[in-house]
Amino acid sequence: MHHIKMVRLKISSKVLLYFLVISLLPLFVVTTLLVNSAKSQLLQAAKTKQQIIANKTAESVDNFLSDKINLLVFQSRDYSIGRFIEPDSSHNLGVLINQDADLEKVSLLDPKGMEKIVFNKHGRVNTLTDLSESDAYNAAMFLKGREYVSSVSYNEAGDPLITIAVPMLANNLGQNLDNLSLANLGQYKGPEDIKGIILANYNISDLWQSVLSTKIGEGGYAYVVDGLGNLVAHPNKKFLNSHQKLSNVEAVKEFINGREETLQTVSEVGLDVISTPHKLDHSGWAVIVEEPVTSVYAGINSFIKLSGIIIISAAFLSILTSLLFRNQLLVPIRKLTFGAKKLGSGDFDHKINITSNDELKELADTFNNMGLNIKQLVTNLEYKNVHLNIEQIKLNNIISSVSDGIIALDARGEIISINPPAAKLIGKPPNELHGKIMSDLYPWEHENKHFAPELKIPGIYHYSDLTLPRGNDYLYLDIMVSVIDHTHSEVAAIITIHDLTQARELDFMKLDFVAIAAHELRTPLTVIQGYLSLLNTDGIKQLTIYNIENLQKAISGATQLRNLINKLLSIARIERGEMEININKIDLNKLVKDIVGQHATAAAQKEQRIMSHSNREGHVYVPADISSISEVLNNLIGNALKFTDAGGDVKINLTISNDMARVEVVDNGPGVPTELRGRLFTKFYRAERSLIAGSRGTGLGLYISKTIIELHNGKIGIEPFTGKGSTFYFTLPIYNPDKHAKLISNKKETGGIRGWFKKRTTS
Amino acid sequence: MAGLKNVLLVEDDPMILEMYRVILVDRQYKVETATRSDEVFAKLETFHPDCILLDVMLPGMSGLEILKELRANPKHGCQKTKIVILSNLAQQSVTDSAIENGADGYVIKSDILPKDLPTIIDSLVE
Repeated sequence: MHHIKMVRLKISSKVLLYFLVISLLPLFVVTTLLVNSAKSQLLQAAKTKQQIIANKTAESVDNFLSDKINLLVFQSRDYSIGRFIEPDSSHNLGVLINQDADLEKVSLLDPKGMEKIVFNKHGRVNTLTDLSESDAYNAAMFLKGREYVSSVSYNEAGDPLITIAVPMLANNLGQNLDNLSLANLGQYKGPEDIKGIILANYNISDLWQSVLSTKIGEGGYAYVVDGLGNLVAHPNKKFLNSHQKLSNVEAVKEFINGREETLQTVSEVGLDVISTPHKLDHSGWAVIVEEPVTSVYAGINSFIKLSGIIIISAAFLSILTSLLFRNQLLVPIRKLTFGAKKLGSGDFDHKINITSNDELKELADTFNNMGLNIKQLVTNLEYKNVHLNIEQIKLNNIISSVSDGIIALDARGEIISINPPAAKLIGKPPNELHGKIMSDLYPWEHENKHFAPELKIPGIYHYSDLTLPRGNDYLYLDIMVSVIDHTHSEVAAIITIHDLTQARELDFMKLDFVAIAAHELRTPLTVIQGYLSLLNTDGIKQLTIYNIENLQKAISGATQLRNLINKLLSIARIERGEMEININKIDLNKLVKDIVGQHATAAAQKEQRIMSHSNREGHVYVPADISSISEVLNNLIGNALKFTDAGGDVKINLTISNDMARVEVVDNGPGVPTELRGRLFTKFYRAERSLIAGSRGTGLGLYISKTIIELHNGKIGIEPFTGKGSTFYFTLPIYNPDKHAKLISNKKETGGIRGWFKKRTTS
Repeated sequence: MAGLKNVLLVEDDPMILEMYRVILVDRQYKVETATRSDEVFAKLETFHPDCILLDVMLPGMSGLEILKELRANPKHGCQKTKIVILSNLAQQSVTDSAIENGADGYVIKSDILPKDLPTIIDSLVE
């Protein structure tokens, strides 16, 4: 907000600045040029005027002095005066002093400098003075006949006084009044030619008055200096009294150096002036005329004043115009700014109303449309966001409530998200695991090797039988890795961990339970079987036929129970991977005959015929565990007898080839329905069958048989159903010393004894 | 040695003990019985059997522990005596342990009938 305000101020001040520059700069330039040219003209005019005034002033002073001198010279040539003839001389002098108001005193001196006749304003003066030592006398006597003009002195009243001395020559030749200086006439020979001197003291107040009253411009005046630069007259009496030597003032220097140029300089009182010196011919003095520069340029001031008024008016107009312009331009901009602010604060309904039909209106319209679009987008986004939040909550609930561990990874294998069960597997809280590399935390093993799931190629990967060390123990896991194409998502893979440890432990407990239960069942069974057999041998003579039949049934039941328990134990061993066979070299022909013999009684009781046939006489050796293979044969033959009706046939065929023995158990019973064949050898088959078939069979036998035969590297199966009877078969490899000698167990089996008997070998 | 005629039968279940004793006596064996480890060791002080039939699940010391003691300790005089384990435990771990500790045979009781005992004893003779 602050920023917008700053820009606005900047624009308005820029506009103002531009307007001022445009209007005032030409005015300034023109005014300056005009003033400068006017100044030079004024200066020129002032100089000219000053020279005229200087001339005029000098002329008036010269005229005054030459008048006085002429008159004295004229008197000096008067016959009576020249000869000091009385009373004519006195009379002439008296007339002279009365006619000339300026003349204060006039004296006639003899050549020795002694006053002879003296007159002042009041008449003849009788006191006569010896003036032989005075400047005037000496000057007049020794200036080769030239008249002498003294410097100015002042009397008690402050009036300026000068003394003029004119020598009186012996040869009184006619005077040419055009040439004042007698010396110039060439009549002067030496002091002996001088008969006397006329000495006149003049009061020159009037002359000074006229000179010093000269006014030039504003504050300009004239003053007079003598040939050495000493001040002779000045309008300011005080200045006159205090400053005598002015040879340092530029204008005076100019005069002393014999020039009379007009100078712009500093005056004797320190003012900027233009100044002109002018030499006075009769006295060797100079009139200095000066005028202050301010006075010279005074005429221009009104022009400058006018210019100032024009400039101020122009500035005022500029400011006014800029304000108008600003309103025209800035008000809409301000509206736009306000609109933008509103938009920024989320008020998308604000309309910017600009009526001017120009680019600004276009901008405002664009802005308004943008507001509408943004509003739509925002509404859309908000809707989606709400939806997304709900989905997120749902997903989070699902993920945290499932018992399986779930880990989401990014492309680097770092944990983005992990649910409590997954974290519990490694015993750390989920929040400590975020951002960690998963493979550092989960040292998974698969078949005793370190395991790291593939995270590169998208797809779903399933890994079972994984272990994860925990303390001295292991967790058994099953994991599913969904590798996601993560171009558009942070999540690169999702790992679902199913903990099988508990299930496995349960399985083991179940199997242990089976083993223990079997043991507990076996003990009473041993007692039952044992005493039944004792009864069967010892007490049989005291029993009736009926008793014996019942005894046989009891023995048969006990045998069935024993077989069932043994099968359960076998299953338990298979499930735990503990099924073990002790390979020995066994004569298969003999084993088959023995087993068939054992079933003869049972077959006879059902009036069934049981027979065996081998395609090879004599010993047929196979590497096998005799009790296990006996169990397989018992199982297949037992089943055949069980499922074949009374009077049926059961045949056992041995087919011996070079390296393989094949044993077939063929019956002519009802056969096995096609739909059951697929599951006949599976563990699952047993449950169904045992429930349906009840005491007739457990179905466990085929599963155990399959496991046993496969441990012997043989095959077991059932031939395809042909409509009548069934044919089960299994194969075993023929004993080959090269291949099988090493397999022979060092734990010898005691042949012929039913049960599990292992005999220690003597070393 | 012409046959193993002196038999020590160790069994805690009286019915099974009686059953086996009867058949062995019937077949001319000289039979002594014990139901627990201390009885076994006491009997061995006076009786020197050719063969010991030893149950596993006994009160106190188990049959396997007795077997170990008999094989390890010469004072019982049974280090060379034939010893067959008679048990209804069929776990591989138990049978392997019995063989390792010097049993000459291991018989699952429910898999045999009393009349099979003499055959088993006779088979022990090399």
